Amino acid sequence: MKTIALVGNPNSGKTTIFNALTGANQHVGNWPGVTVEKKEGVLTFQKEKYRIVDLPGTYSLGAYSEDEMVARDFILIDQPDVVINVVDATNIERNLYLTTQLLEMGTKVIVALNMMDEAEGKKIRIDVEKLSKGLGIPVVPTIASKKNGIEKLIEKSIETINKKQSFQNKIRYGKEIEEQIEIVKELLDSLSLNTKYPYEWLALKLLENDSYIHEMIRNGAESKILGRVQESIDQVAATMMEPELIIVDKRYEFIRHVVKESVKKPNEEVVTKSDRIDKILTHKWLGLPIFALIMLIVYQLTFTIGQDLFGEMVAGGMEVLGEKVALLLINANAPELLVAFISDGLFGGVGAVLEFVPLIMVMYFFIGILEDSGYMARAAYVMDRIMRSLGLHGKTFISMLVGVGCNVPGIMATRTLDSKKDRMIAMLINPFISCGARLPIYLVFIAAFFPKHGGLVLFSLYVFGFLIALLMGKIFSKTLFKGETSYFIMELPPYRMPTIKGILLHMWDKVSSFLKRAGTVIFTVVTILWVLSVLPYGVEPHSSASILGRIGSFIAPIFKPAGFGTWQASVGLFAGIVAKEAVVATLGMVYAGVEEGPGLIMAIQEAFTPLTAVSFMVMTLLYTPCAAVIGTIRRETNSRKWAIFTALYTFLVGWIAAVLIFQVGRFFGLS
Amino acid sequence: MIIEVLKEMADMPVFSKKTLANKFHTNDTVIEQVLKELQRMGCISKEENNNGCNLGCGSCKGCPMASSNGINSFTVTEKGKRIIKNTNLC
Ligand SMILES: Nc1nc2c(ncn2[C@@H]2O[C@H](COP(=O)(O)OP(=O)(O)O)[C@@H](O)[C@H]2O)c(=O)[nH]1
Repeated sequence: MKTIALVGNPNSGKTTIFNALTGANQHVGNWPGVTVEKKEGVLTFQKEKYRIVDLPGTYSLGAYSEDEMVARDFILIDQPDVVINVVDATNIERNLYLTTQLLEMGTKVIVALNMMDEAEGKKIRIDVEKLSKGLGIPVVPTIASKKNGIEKLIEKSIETINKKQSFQNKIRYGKEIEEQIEIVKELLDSLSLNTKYPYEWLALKLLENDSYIHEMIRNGAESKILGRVQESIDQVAATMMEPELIIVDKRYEFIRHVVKESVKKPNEEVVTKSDRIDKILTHKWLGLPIFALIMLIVYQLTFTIGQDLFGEMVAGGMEVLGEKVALLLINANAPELLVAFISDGLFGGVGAVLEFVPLIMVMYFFIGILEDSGYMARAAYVMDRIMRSLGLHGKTFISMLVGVGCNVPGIMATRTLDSKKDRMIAMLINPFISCGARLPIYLVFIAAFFPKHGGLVLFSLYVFGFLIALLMGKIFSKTLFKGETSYFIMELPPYRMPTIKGILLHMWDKVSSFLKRAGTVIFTVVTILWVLSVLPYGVEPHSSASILGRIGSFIAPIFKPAGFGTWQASVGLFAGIVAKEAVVATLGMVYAGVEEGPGLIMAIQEAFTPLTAVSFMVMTLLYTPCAAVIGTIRRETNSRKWAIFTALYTFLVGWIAAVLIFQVGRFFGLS
Repeated sequence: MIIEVLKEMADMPVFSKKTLANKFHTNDTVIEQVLKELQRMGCISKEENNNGCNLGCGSCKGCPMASSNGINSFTVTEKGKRIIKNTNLC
């Protein structure tokens, strides 16, 4: 029985053709030794039976995947009588790459030019005659889904099987390569290799550095010829470049030539819409202001929608729930301490953090839109230019973008920076990028002092953190880590309509980790601090006489020059080193006893002034990152020294900035 | 064409498959294939700057997070640079 094999790119319609040829007469198995599915069937045509083998769909016939190996070994070793190459007519250029490799194998090939209906729909005109002439093999147009052209395909296949010789055009690799192919081939001819691979093909593959073929020869009896092959490779490389590159290049050249002769495509827009948009969004001068404006709008919308629409609902709900639960516990005669813990610790502390979940959701919803649409890559490109001019690597900005969610993955994202210098700088400055956990702090203070300008204040904080990061990066690159910055090429992905699913996933990614932390780390911190704030037994709970109060009072003088030298603010900042959400949770708890109702905000209005609110926000933006971040820096740098350095220098930077803001503000008469 | 694409890439700080495709009068799937070949031959290296999805659900296939999350970048390797230099000489 004669064998016909089917090869083609994935989605070229190979399976459809296979089904059309074999009907129900097929069975599925596995190729020996691999997990690739093997489909075989029988075609009966004019009383003759033919074995049809469906080879795995591949884009090329190298040695890069099991699929490719299976396909090429079947063609070369099992030697089917003819190979039908299914080509997608709508993307003929890419599909023909596989065809060129089939031509190199010297087997009998015919092309099934499939999807002709779609090509027509796309106004792609293919001169089948010329294509066939260009390739030197028969080409049969088909519409497999309608079984058009199948009969002709079978006839042509059988005709080809019965032909003595296959006519096909050779791909010209140029004199240098062809000479070397000839030399290696003669060398192979002179030996008796134990292989069924044709020698000309072997010679080509050896020059092309095909890893599998090299391995095969190396493990065989004639491994010494590899030395001669290397000589050939070096000879070509010395005068031009590596043969593999030339060979691939010539294949593309061959394809271009054939396609040019036989395919007419409608004049594609040379400047696409996305090019035009990119011209503006990545413009040398406009790019940055546009990015800034977009972010400002995002923060403003975050407030308008998140706070005004959902925020109060949740805050109100939380309060009512807290009171209900407290009442329930009192009615159930629960111990007084438990009631206090639940209402002050849980609802005052953890609840204060949870109140901001809607806002955080809204913010990441918008950032999700920017990421999903492809805009963030443009922003990264715009920033890349600025980073470069400061001697920083452009990828630093990508790690910063990640840091907006959380600095831990932000620091991990620096792994793609290959120079140690660039990577160290990127890691050390990442903590200045304001993460999601710091948001509640700003939100509480904004609600207390700047409710009308929430978006602007939030935007300014992020920008300030970013500028400090750049400044420190510049300082580090001039002092601690000197050296060349390598450069890279960024790919701008095509714009696309953001999908709801994509955006929601982006959002959920960030919010879920926020919630998880609220339930674990924050809960633990609040519990410990609550205990400290009611001990020793008998003191006024949450007062400066408690253990927590005494710790706070001990630290407080450090923050006096920055304007917030109270014990409450100090323990808040202290707790923030464990986790940044704990700042608000702690404030919520220690101020819970002070006021009822939207207690925290009112308490803060009493304890702070607009000026100290700003200096406190800047302090929390910049000072020592949370324990998880410090731990990550220790792991990633593999050095305790850098972790401690980060913890200390960021504290210093935060403190200096806060003190400057307070002192300068006071000097100008602000309060 | 593959060498031309390499040269073109080395000359620009940013590219999109679409613009490259336009330049070479082909489509972006061909460019994608060419980039893969260049990568395989060690002329360029590709880095996927994943945004660090934390969902951990493990079902990345077909997930928009996996496809849209990263900003991809390429670097022309030493080998790539050498080849460009050599072709400019001949
Ligand atoms: N319009 C059109 N669709 C086709 C044609 N041939 C196959 N298809 C469809 O293209 C899709 C992919 O085909 P399939 O045979 O599974 O491709 P394979 O991956 O190469 O096996 C299926 O939905 C087919 O119905 C054709 O000639 N024209």
